[in-house]
Amino acid sequence: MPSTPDTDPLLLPEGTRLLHIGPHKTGTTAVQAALWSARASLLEQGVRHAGRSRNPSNAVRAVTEQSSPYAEGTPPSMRHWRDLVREIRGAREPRLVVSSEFFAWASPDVIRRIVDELDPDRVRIAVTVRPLARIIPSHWQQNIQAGTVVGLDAWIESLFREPPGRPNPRFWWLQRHDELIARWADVVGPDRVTAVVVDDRAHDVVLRAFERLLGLREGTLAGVRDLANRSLTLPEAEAVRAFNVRFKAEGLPKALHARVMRFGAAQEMKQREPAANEPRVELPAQALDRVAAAARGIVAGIEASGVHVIGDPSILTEVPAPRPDAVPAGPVAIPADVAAAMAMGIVSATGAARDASTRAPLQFAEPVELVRVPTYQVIGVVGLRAQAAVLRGLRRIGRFVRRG
Amino acid sequence: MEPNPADAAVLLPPRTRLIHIGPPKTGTTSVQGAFHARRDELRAQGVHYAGAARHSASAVRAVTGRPSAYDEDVPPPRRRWNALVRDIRGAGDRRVVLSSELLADATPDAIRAITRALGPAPVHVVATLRPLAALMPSQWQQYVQAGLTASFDAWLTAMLDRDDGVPTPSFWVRHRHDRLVERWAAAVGSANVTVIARAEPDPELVLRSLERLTGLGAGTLVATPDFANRSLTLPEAEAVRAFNAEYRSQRLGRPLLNRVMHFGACQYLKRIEPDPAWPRIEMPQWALDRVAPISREIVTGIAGSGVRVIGDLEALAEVEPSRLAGDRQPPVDVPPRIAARMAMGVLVASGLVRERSQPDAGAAELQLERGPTPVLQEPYDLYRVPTYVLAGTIVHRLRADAVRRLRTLVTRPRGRPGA
Repeated sequence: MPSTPDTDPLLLPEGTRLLHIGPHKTGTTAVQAALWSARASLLEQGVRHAGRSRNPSNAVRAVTEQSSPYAEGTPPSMRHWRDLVREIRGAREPRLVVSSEFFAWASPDVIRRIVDELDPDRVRIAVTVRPLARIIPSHWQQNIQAGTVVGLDAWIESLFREPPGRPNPRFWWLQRHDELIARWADVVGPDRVTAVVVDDRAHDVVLRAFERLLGLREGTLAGVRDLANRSLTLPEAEAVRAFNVRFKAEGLPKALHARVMRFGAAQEMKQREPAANEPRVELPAQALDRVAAAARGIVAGIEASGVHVIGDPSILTEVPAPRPDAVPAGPVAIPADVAAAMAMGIVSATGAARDASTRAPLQFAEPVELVRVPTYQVIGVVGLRAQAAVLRGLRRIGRFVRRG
Repeated sequence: MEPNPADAAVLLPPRTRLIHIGPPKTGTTSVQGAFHARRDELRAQGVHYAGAARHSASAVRAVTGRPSAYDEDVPPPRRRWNALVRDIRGAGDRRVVLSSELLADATPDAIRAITRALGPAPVHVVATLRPLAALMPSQWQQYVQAGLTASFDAWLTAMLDRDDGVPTPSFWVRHRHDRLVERWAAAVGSANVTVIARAEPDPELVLRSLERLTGLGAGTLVATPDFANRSLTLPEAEAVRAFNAEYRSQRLGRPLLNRVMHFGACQYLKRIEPDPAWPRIEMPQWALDRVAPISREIVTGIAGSGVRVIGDLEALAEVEPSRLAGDRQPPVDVPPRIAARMAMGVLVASGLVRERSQPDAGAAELQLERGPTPVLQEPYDLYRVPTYVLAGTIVHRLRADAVRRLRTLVTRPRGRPGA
């Protein structure tokens, strides 16, 4: 029998400030979109969704010292974080929720700082946890959108490299969910942490869990259809990866990549409806055992931690059955429309399309032939041509004089 | 010893204005590059290559009334052509060579206007011809670069099965070579038309013949390497074609398409050597069967027209069996590298790259692909860039540089907000 919100054992006490800390690739965008679009209804039910956007990423990046994708090595200004803290402290609603996967980056020191600033008595933590076998392909294609050039197989190799000298610490910092949970539980106490198991076959389960934690009527949070949040298919990811290789060879800066690819062409590519038979990014068969073993370790750690768990943690160890028709190794063929969508996305991202659709004259741009020609050589060529033109003129005058 | 086919070229009278009318895809870029690169030598030997650039495209567009590649619907101003005519008249008694494949598109009226403007000096017309079966794939991929969305199979059907001029009305105007020759012969007389015919591109035959016609010493003209002028392979053309379709659906107009794709991404794609594994564009057997009788008519027409022939006219009618297994192009997937280069080419063409670029070792590859740059001469790459664009580029760069310097002077480094 479904319990009413008031008697629900999951319901967090009044005064709670619930931090949903992700991590990445666990369906955070879906949770954030659902909270954001139900903001008014949340307020009516006494819950504030804090932040000026669905994911206050600048504020959380600032406090966790994660650089913005547009500015290498520079986290956003701490002003964003102070604004968010002020909003949270000023809230009068019985409960408050803030969701950002960038919380997951926090070191123990930063966790202590965050919790202290938001009042240790009132902070509760929600962590969404998803099967590692789903996280890995999803995380890889996200890295590709962000500009990396490593193929899926090699990347997975790097995750499990032995001895664990440098086995991709950034990935495991976020995705060893047991260790992530332990870092936060050490500061707030395990009974103030709730792990929500994400089941890809039943997306609503996560939204129902947040409703119960916050005391919302069932159905307040609804799935928002968002094409832009789908993963890239394998050919799409491979096209972007090849672009990244080229981009790197051209020595172009990361901020430009963020503009034209990550937040440009990659977004446009996701508006495309992939064919049903287009291969998805999937774990290679040879990785399944190692992934399952790591996932078992994660589940054991979560179960031993003493945190609340919503959902069935046993699904976290699931790996797909090896498929006989798996995509063979080797270069992936790209459907022509994927290539077209990527190039068209670049056109849009550069702003050229905006100029063209307003029929304004195109802004000056160097022709492709000139991009690698140094300025002194261009000046030299203009000089040569001017010299030729002068000689032509002199000859014409000479002929005129001789005739006259 | 085998006779050199170029021997059939007979020295033209002094003052002759030699007009090389292409048609397109017959090695015209290489001819123009060879003349343009040797302007000083030519002068010493009493020959003038008309115009100041490798190809006086806008002058020819002005006189033939064809829109410029950068503007929609508007031919360049007539003064462009008038300036070229003045340049040619200025050559006086020297022989003059004018080469433009765009002349193959000229209507009879435009032909009369052109030949009248160049007289009363003798005018001689040269057409470089290749077999239709070889030209069609090359011409299709050229149309694709310029924005065509029809597949090769659909285009072949349109050209060979229907005759309504859709979607590329210029094709038969240029490539019914018998009628092309006839149009120009009607204006200058068939004795003043020379056809250079060969099965393979054979730039040597063309250059040696042009040397003999104009009295240049053998070897004066040297074929210039032009990396940017190769044909696209099938997967490259298919990627560009898919882009064209996507672009059309967004209704953004032709000038931007020309910039980012035709003169942008296509140029970027072509300056990289294609992988030998990428399939070429192949004529299917059914199309070759249709082309054979047309080629025969072309050869018969030219043979009966009384024009001079250098090379092997019969070669134009030779049709080899198709290398395709079926009647259609195989379905094509695009290798990731092509998709990447096309997108990168678009980015480079957008103008966002130059100021931000700090090429690492990987970019050296691009430098190597461009070939050696001659000393005290324009790099071949720049032949196709008009002077005003070069000047604009210099101004643009100097301004961007000045702005950057000013910025670093006035702003202190500080954390800045992200998106």
